[in-house]
Amino acid sequence: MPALAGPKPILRYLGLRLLRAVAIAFAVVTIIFFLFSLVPGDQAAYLAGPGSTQAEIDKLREALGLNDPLLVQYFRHIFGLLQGDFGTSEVFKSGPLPFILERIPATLALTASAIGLTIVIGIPAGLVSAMYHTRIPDLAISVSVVALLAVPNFWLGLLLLSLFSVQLGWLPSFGFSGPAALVLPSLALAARLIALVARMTRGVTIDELAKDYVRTARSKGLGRTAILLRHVLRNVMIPTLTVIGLQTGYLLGGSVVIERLFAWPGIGDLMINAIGQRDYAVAQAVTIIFVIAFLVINLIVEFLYVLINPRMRAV
Amino acid sequence: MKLVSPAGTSSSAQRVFVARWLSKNVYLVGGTFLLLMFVIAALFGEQIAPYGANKQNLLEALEGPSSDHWLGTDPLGRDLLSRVIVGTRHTLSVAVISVSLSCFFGVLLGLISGFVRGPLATAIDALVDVALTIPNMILAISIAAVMGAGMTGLIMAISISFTPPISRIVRGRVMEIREEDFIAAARTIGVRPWRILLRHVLPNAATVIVIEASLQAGQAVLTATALGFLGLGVQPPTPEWGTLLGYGREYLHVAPFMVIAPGLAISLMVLGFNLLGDGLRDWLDPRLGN
Repeated sequence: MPALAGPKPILRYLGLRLLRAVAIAFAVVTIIFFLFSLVPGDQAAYLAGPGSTQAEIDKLREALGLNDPLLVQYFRHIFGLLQGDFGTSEVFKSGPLPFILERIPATLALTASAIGLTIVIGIPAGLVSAMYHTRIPDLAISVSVVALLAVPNFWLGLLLLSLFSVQLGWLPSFGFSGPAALVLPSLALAARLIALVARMTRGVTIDELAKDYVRTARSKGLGRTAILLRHVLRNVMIPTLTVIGLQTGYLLGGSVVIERLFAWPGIGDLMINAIGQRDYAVAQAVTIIFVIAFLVINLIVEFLYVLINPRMRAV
Repeated sequence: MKLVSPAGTSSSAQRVFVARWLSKNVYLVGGTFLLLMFVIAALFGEQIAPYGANKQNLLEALEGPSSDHWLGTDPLGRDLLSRVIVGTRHTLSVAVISVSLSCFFGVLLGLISGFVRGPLATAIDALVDVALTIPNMILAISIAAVMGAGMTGLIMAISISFTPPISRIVRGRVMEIREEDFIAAARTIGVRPWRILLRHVLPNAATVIVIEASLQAGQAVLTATALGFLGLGVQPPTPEWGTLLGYGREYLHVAPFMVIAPGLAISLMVLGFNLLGDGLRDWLDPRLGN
């Protein structure tokens, strides 16, 4: 390795991460296919509906390709996916992809605003906690963090719904009707992340405040707030990014529950509806979309790491 | 920096030490106390509950909290306090059984992939890598959907989706232990690898495993009740906490009190496991604390 690292090693590193993500996506699709092939009962008989004759069921089974060996079905599934074919939804009587794409913006809006809330609330809470280390604000924030980590997001959502929509009537209780409708679901989803980021920010800030550069800045006559905002905040961004990266799985999984609670028209709600109607093609397609989203977000986090942290650029 | 007299330093240092010692043990004691209450409720739910969990009384339907029904009644006139108490057994046993299973398999995979070098370790590693890419909750929902609603599906969903993370943590710890001198010494005197693994590596990884198991149990409670809320857990009339919340959601306009008790019960149980995990970490492994 040459000591002077140009752009090439980074590109190679990022390229390798991308290749790895593609390989993992392929493996996950395989696992999900075999998982969903375990669905008990005769899928064709269920889909044909009650009162259908054996001949009709057999015909449907043949049409769906359920008579072929599992491996043949698997390869057909993979080649289908490569062409954007996610199977046939029996409820929608067509490929599920248009229905999924139509619902992605709602899920994106929900998760993105949850991340926004996490940054806007979590980081300042952690900074305040560190500034007032072992004093009352710190105690209050630390206790809130412990409490928020124990509260299920769907219960928090129910309480918020009950208070702000049902009792006070300030905010809409369901659907994606505008920015106001985003507040409660994204807050319920973000609560856990806010707690984790606040805790992480507090720890990092306390460590940073004890470092030499802070003392130097103090001796130059800089105020505490200026030091926090100008110097410490920069070092806090990396752990925050780490928390968000590590909790992407929570964010996506939690969105399914929160969407259900708020009747939010995203893909999580679609997935639960599909499971209820035994429309496994759709459930499987949404699962794949979630995994791909997870891989993409993690790639973005890794790329951001390289951008934010100059030390990483020398890899 | 404030200047303090030596005497002042030692007494304030002592105070800080005692305060820190106490606050650490507050976690452990608090968590243990909370969980003990839930264990008692799980064992003797029917005896403690003031009414039968499924005893209906339509004359008292949807009543708010009163001296007869502390937490109110549901649309069928069933006592909510009794339903929450009797429901403890279900959530606690799902959490304990699933986490025991995920720990057993996770520790097994972690021990092998951290200690052995070769194709088997690489294969386990790759599999865990892939499994970690499926968001936990999504994997659990998919498994529960395929297995069908019920206790078996729920336990499989949670234990399978919780195995990869614990295996990754155990692997990391084992790879540290593997480099220790006493392992090299054991190898040198000819102790067989599986014996080194069980007698020397496993006991040294135990701390991490116990802490992780406790924290995972809290997550298992959250996942199990979320699946119940989504209608993928045990079916009514079993008074499962997540299902109770899903039921309460439909009556939010007329009976907001219905969602208080089950949610509080879930939160306190998760809090108990989290405090126990954090308390154990501070107690068993002071280096790991923040």
